Formats: sequence, structure tokens, C-alpha cells
Amino acid sequence: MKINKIFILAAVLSQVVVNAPQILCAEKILKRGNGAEPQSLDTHKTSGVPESNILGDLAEGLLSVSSNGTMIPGVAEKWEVSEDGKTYTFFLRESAKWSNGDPVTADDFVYAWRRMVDPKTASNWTFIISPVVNAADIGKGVKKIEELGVKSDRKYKLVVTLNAPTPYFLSLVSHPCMFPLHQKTVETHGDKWTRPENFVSNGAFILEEWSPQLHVKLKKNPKYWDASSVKLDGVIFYPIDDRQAELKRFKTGDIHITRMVPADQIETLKAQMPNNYRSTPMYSSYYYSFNNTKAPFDNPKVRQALALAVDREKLVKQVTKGDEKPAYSMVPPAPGDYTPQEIQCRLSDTSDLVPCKSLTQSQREALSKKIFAESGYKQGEPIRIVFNTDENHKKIAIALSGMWKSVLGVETELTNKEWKVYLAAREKRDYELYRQVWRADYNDPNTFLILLKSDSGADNTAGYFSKAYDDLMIKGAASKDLKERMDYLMGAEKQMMSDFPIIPLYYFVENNLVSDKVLSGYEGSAMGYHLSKWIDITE
Amino acid sequence: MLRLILNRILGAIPTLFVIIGISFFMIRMAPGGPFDQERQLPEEIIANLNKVYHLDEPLYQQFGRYLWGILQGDFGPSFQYKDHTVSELIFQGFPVSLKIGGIAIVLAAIIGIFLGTIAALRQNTRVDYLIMGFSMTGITIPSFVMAPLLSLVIGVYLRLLPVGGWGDLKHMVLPIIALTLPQIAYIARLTRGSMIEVLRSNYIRTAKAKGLPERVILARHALRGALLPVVSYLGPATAGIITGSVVIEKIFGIPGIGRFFVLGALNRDYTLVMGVVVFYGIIIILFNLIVDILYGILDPKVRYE
Repeated sequence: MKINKIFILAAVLSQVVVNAPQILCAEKILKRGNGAEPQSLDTHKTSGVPESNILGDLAEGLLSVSSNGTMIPGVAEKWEVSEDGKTYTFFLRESAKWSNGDPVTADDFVYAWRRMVDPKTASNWTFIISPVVNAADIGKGVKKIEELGVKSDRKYKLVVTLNAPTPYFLSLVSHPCMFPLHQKTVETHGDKWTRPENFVSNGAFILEEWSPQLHVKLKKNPKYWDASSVKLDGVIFYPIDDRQAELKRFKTGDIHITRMVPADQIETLKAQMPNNYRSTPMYSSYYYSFNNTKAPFDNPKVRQALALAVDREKLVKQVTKGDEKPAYSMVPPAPGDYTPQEIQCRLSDTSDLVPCKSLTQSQREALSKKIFAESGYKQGEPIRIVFNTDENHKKIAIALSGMWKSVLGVETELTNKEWKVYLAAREKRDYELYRQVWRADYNDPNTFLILLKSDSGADNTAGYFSKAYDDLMIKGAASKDLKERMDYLMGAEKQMMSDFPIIPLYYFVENNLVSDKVLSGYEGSAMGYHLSKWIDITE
Repeated sequence: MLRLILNRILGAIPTLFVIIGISFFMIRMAPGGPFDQERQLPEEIIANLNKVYHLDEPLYQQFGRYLWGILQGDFGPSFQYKDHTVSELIFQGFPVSLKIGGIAIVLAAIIGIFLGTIAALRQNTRVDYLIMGFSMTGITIPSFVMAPLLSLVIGVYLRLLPVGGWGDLKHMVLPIIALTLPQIAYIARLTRGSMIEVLRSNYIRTAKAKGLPERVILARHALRGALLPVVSYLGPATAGIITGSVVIEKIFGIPGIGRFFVLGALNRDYTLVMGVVVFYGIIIILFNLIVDILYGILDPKVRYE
């Protein structure tokens, strides 16, 4: 009798779960792996790449990006920059509409930007808007939000005044946190404005469904001004943080574009799916920071010796194996006027400086040994390397530790820490060496170089304090001439690279898989922008 | 019986209070905070964030605020998933975990008890060895091995079922199998052991002496006694399984609540961790109560006055 009841219960339960009829349709729906669950879809409350990917499809800023990552007009049809480089006037296209049909006006930008700097919003992103007049003071609560250096003519003209000429300002305005907001929606629904039933946006897609830990579904926005360029009917973003799981779902055709691939399977995938495997150089650097404030790394010669002893070629070929490029500078190479300043070496006291990259590894090692001998370093306690728990970081730390041991006989101790514990340790500068990755926030070398300025606080993990470096950075920031500015920044990086506060290891690449069904529009982009707007698929 | 239930519910209140207190202060002792990230936020932003989330108040005041919120059924906003409250996240995820966990534990109980009984009746025969061999394997293979294997073979190679996602019945099959297998193994072993013991006991001998048929002895007398250890195992096991498995959810991309526990802790999402802990505590207490009630029904020696 009891057994019968259990059977009935099981039958009832299984009936309950047979739901959701299969929907078969010929719509073009792009399915993308998107790493983690988005923290928020409020442009001012996010902090990561998964949110940027979704927001880039949902909304559009003054400028947008093309399929290969170059800046193109977005909501702004054209813009003018004043003689002194401090005033930007944007002319908005009148055809730009919100998904509810309202026109996108300059007021929507003013509202959004004021909201971002408002201390009550507590946005993570205020450093992006910091070049705008009074942004910093408003954030500190010293000035009112109405004093922000942005004005609208109530229609389609937006005037922005900056503290100093900021040539990368156009790159900043394409960042999701600088997108416009529909004031009425945000004010009516408060914290719940990002729910699909409330969401009003101005991008190529609109939010259809958001099911935490399952998916975020977008559908084409017919009101979008450039809707005729949009080939897809919808996009689904899956928050899959497990790379193996993502790979399996790609193999079964469940997703079209993965966010990443398992690092240990890159070689197999390259061989098995050469047409699907993509490797895109990113505007991003992997490096180690010395703790410059403490012995033994307060001694520049010790820093230099360790930096030269690293075999970067071997590191990327045999350890990381993801098509990374060995790095000798902090700023990765990118198209434009900036030439990354690589580490220089002097083979003997009388010879000229040459790029260390041009030497053979054995020459570098010989040089490293010589400098190390001069440094007067005596091994006491082992040097402590700290990294956050991750297979790849661990492999790199082991490889470096081995290289330093064999070339210089230096003993090291590896410590891995859970992410938040690692961040706390790094902030306190408790250890001697830290691993670090920096992914550009905007398309300008400043996003890297600013980290090592004396006043960068905890971002300056190396604890590098150089007056010469700071001076060059300040001069660069104040410079009106684009070329002159780049010269100052290059000068700063050159100065830094001769002081060795960090060890550049490699320039990051993004490795992922793209299905044969993706016909066009998915190209490499150093900033990692891949707007679904440009992508077309077969179905 | 009613008194027992009432007593236990009243007794649960201080237990929950202790759970909340310990976990509240423990998560705050962990180094790092909810707003630490690769890019360090400027001090004024950290200050603004702390103010918005009341982290600038003294700890005892925050604790008081939290308790007051819970009394009103409010677990607060999530620090990490800023567009959702903790209650929303829990109540969106729990039905999913309950569905697969519930089915898995019912299946496991039926199959496990059946196999265990057969093994006990055929003690030391090939059938017994086969079942126990299977169950030993089920216990020793952890779910983080079983789940990827299942999805690789059945999903990727044979293409019979999807390897991840949620929505249809087909999405539930593999996770349920992965959850059920080790449970079947445990339950079969437990049932076999206690059944062998019960079959040797005096009251079964008496029943046999009375001339009752084997079937009746088994169904009416032996199974009832043999199920007691299984029931006490099933209580906490059900509580555990319906509150979600981190491994299974991650591997099969299931939007349950198991992952929130780990993600919440890793992100120092204080409110989310607390919410899941309190919820988990309530479920455990509830299932322990159910076990006690079932004991009263199954075991004639236990009577609640």
C-alpha cells in the first residue's frame, strides 16, 4: 500500500515536470556562452565582461564599435572637438529611438551621466567619467550633480567639457557605463527597472527574459535606428562558468560561440576543430608585480635580474600554450600612434642599449647572472610568490620559480589564495611577488600606465613610486597635441621599463570556439567587443 | 504528536538564531569584502557602497538590522547580483533544485530499498554480490566524476540527451541519474544490513512460527523494522539533495540554489550566503522533524506522548 503511494507520488511528480512544449521555428537565434551570471543589467552597477557583452547588445552609446572593434558613430551622428581639446559637442541622430518609441535625446545622456556620478548610485565606474568637469568632486559629495560638465540643448546636441584634453574620451563614451538611460523607466521602477517587463533600451536588441543562472534572452528591437543592419532575430546568453561544460555544449551544437576554452585542451581543439578555434590578441597584459617597497625588491638590480632570467618563449610555448605572445613591455601592441616601450639591455658596460627581446635567451640569462652578482643579494627566507587559486596561474608560478632556481639559484615559495583573500593580501602588500592581469578598460595606453602612478593607491600593486614617471604622466595628461602626448606616455613607459617594477610576461589572447553556423560578423577585437548586431548565422 | 511538532518548532527558533549568529560573524571574519575586485575602487566609492548596503554601521547594529529583516521575511538585497533580492534568488532557484532533488531521492529510495531487500534475502549469493558490487561502485565514484562521464557518453558521443540547460524533461534525466546513483548505493547497503539483522530477530522467528507466508512477513513485519535506519538517513539526505548540488548544477548548467551557496561565499556576498544558510537550516530542521514523526509510525517501540 505504501509502496503504491510512493509510485503515485513519483508519477505525479514526473507529470509536473513534463512541461514546456518544444518550439520549432526558423528564427535566427544566436546562442553565446557568457562566463558568469551577470551581476546586474544596470549600466552603472556592473563590473565585468559578461555584463558588457549583454549591455553592448541592449543599448548604444554616443559611439559604437564595428565588427572588428573600430569606433564608429552610434547615437551621435557626428561630433566636434574644440581647439583646446577640452570641449566635445555631439550631434545626436534624430532617428534614434528607445524601445518604447520615445526619441533618444541629449537629456537622456545628461540624466545617465549625472546618475553615474551621484554618490547615491555608488557606481563602480566613476573613473571612466572622471575626465569630465566636476565629476570627481561630485563623487566626493563636495559638489552637486547638476554641476557636472555636461549640457544638452534639450534636443539633439550634447556638450561635454573636460578638465584636460583627453584624446581617448571617444573610447570612453562607447563604454556601457556611458550609455543613455530612459529617465522615466529608471525613476518609476527603481531597483527593478532592469526586469524584462520594465526594461527600456536603445540598442539593437531588447531584453526578453532573464532567468538567473540559466540564460538572458534578447530579441531584435524593431525600433532601433539601424534595425535593417541587424540580421538576427534574437540572442541568448548562457552563464556557463565551467569551461568543460561550455565545451560540451558547443560540441553538441547547444551554443554557437563559447566564451573560453579549457586551457589544457587548446592543442587538441586546434587539431580537431581548426575552423572553429579562434585566438584573438587582446589589449591585455599578464605580468608579475614586484613588491618594490620591501627587501629584496627595493633593490632595482635584483628586480632586473629576475625579469631577465625568465624565458618567455618557453613560458608561452610549453606552459600556457594558448598562442600568447611573449611580452617585454607593459602596454600591449595595438594599432595607433603608440609604440610599446620594451625592456632594454646593455650587453657590456660600454655597449649600447638594445631591446632585450633581440638577444638570445642564453645571452639574457648570462646578463641576468651578471646583474644578480652585482646586486649583492643574499638568499635569506625564500621569496614568496602569491597568486589566486587557478590552474593556469599555478602552472606559470611553478615555471617561473623553476627558471629563477636554475638560472640564479633563487629559492621561492608559492602561495595560492582564494580570490578575495588574494586581493586583500595584495592590497596590504604582504608578499614579495604578485601575479596580475590587466585588461584595458578603454582603448588607450593610459589604461595600463595609470596603474603605476604614485597616486594610484592600491591599483599600484607594485608600490612603484617614481617622480620621473609621474612627471611624464602628468605632462602627457595635460598635453593638447596628440603626438606630443604619446611621446610623453612612451617616455613614461620607457622610464618604468628601465626601473623594472614589474615583469611583463605575455600579452593576453582570447581563445574560443565559433560554430560553422556563424556566417559573418564575428571578428577579432582587441578590446573584446563582439556586438551581436553584426553577426549572422544560418539556421 | 501535535505537541511534539509544536515543541520542535519552538525548539528550532534558538537553533536558527545560533546558526544565523555564527554564520553572520564567520563570513565577516573572512578576509576581503564584497566590493574587492581586480581594479581597486576609489575610497569614496567604497564609502558610498558601504553606506548603501549599511556596511558602515557597527557590526552589532548590522546584525540587529539583519535579524529584524528576517523576522519580516526579508533577506536583504544581494551584494553581487544587484538587481535581485536574496529572497528572489532563493525562490527562483529552489523549485528547480526541489524538482530534480525530489525526484532523485524518491527514485533512489524505491530502487535502493528494493535492491537492498533482494540482496538481504539472497544473502551471499551471486545476486547479493552483484548488487553490493554495484552499490560499492556507486558510493566510491564521486559525482564530479560520474556527472561529466554521463554527459560525455550520453550527451556528446551518443547525442541522446542534452548536456546542459533547463526547461524540458530531457534536461532533467542526466542530472537526476547523476544524483540518484550514489543515493541508490547508500540506501541499498543500509537496507541490506538492517534487513539481515531484522530477519534474524525474535519477532520474525515468531511470525515464521505462526506460519505466516514469507511475503507477508517481509511486507508487514521485516520491511517496517528494516526501514528505520533508512528513514533516519533519508531525512538529512533529502534536505541536502533538494537544496541543490553545486557540482551537478555547475556541470549541467542547472539554475538551482546549490551554486548560490558557493558563489555567495566566494564573492563575500554576505546577504546571499546568510539567506542560503538560514534557508538550509530551516529545511534540515523540517526534515529531522519528519523523520521523528515517521519513526513514531514505523517503530512500535517509539511512542510520542
